[in-house]
Amino acid sequence: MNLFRFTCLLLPCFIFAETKSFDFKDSKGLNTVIFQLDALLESINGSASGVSGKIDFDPDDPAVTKGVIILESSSLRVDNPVLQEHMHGDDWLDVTKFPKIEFSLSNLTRLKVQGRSIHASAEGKMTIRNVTIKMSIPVELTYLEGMLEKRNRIPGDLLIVRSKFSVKRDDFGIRAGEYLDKVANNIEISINLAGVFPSK
Amino acid sequence: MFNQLLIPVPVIIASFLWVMDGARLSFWATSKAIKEEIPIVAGMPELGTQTKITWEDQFIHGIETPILGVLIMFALLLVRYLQKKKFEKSIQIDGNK
Repeated sequence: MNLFRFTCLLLPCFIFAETKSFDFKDSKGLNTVIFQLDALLESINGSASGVSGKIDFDPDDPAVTKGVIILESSSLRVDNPVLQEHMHGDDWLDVTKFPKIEFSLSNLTRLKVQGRSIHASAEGKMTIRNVTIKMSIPVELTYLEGMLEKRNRIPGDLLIVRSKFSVKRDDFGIRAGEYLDKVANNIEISINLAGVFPSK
Repeated sequence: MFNQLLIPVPVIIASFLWVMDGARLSFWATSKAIKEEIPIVAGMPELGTQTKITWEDQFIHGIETPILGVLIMFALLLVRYLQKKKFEKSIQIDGNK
């Protein structure tokens, strides 16, 4: 009897809790990761467009947001072809052996609502070159209900994820401790991604 | 024997090309990132924008260009010096005759 009453009490929670799974493989090709690192002569600036992944977001309980964002390492691009070849090569990112860079989000902490946006710390694990490190990344989430129709002409919602953070190449074994005088250890990363949740 | 006024020409041309491309200290580049801010929802920029990056194939001169200009100038100076030496030597031989 107690179990029945307990189930009845919890039932509304299951009925009203609606976790939406947002897909970050953007058909418009605007989901881009921008990176920058200092080098001997000038800073190296590049971008990567091979973004995919899914994030489960509940507008009523954003703290339980979880999911994974994947970046194809071969999509990283810089303006100099020789530099790009080195970056993709065995000694640096080794894109053939490690084709994915992944951030696995487990939850959000320190949530702060500011207008339409939620500022929080994304707790999760970053994997680069098969090295996984626990990370806490500052993020800004903007949930745009019903706005997918205006963007992609499909009924549904949008979730915008913005973040600026840095990773150390030493931490992920990318020529750790080497060439620090030529290529900085810190890699500044800026993301601005739109995830879609079609309602039908 | 070429005119000695031509010797600094490679440096002048190389420096001009380098400065025109922004006098970058980095190496030659073969593409350029064109950034464009696109509203997330068309017609509603107040909801935020996303940066669209298009890589355009374009040769951009780097630090190698002025260095190459200087090297060519030195090569021309060397050629001129050797030609001058050869010329002086031939005059000396003719004088001895």
